[in-house]
Amino acid sequence: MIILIIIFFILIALADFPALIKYKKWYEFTVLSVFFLCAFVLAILQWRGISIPSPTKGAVFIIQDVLHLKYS
Amino acid sequence: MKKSSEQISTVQLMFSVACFIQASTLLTYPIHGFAKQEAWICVLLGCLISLPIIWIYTSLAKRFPGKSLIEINDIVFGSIVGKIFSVLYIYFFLNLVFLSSRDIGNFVGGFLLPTTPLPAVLIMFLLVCCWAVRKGVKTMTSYAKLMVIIAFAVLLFNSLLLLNIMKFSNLLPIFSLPLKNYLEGSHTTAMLPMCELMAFLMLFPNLRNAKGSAKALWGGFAIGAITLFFNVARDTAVLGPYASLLTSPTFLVARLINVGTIFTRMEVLYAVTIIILMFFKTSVLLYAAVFGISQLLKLDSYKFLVPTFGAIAVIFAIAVFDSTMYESYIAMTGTASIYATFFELILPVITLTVAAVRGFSGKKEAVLL
Repeated sequence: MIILIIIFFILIALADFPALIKYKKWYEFTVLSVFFLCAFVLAILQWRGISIPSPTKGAVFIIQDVLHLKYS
Repeated sequence: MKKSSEQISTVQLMFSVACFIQASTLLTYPIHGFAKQEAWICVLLGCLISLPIIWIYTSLAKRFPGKSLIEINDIVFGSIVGKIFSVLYIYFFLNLVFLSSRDIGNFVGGFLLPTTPLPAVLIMFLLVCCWAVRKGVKTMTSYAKLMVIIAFAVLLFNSLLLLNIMKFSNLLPIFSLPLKNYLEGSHTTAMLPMCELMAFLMLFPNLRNAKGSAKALWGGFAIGAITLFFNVARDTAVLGPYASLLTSPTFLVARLINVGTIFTRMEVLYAVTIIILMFFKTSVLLYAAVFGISQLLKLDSYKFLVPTFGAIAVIFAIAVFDSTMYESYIAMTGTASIYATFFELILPVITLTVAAVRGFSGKKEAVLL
């Protein structure tokens, strides 16, 4: 599975990084690198079975537990 | 960021809006859950509630012709507060990408390919969405007209074949439920499928005729709302209150078709249609999120971000819910609708109010275009 993830991310990297380097778009390169690294780390965490914080659970906590808003 | 050179027509945008709403026929179960056999009344009420909210979106588009939601925030609130609003909107669009992807993953895994792992379905689905978004708005929306026609034709065809088992008495009695059921059902209808149209504020800069945005939004809304209404009414006419117990009433209704032993297993038609429509909806949402990020960070293009955000979408679509039961719980307790209200109603109202107070009428902006 880890090999599949790595191949998948190599393909994604090959799709865009070479063009950004070729045209010397360093700002875009930096931004993409940050997001790409985040995506890769999240994929590894997912593969290792480490739970990733769900954005939905955060919203449910704020709406139901903090604001106490709920259909009766 | 440079102005997009990809221009789309008003008609193209109108059909895109219609397609976007039609995709929501996958998730009619909360409406049936709240209002049982009177779900069709909630759809009508939900459409009525949506009208002033859509007017807010069209007013924003008229006041800031040719501007995206991110640019509008910067103009209205200034660069710091505007950026905070923009981050909230981008977070919302991304969240909708995760939710839509998970919905299609649940649908395919639950009804069509039960032994296929969820990540496999999500990767295939989001790969196509990323491809479409990378090709640009013009390519992405060019098939909207065809998709709307196909969706309408399938709805009509299936409905005709179901006439023999429809009982129109299933739509009665009306106004027999407590008021809160209608309020909850109509609020859910307005917030979950209808007002997600806000994502189209990110497509307006691509409109060839900036003045046609309101026309496109209203036209598409009307087509989408009519489809949703007929869909819900037909499902109720066939299933009665039993529809409120199902996670996909429309799919089950299509399964019941059996005319002359020839027209059977028609659910596959519905399944193909809904996958196409959900592909379109997710692509629009992914475009809104990625284009928003590129405008927020002042990048040259949004296209190079698309595959990476496709990967992020796969990961979060898996993580977003523990189970389909949890998703149903979120929908049925109103959390999803209340959450959407903040982004789809409260934030745009604040934006429009501040724009009005600061005197942005749209005339000056239109001259500058």
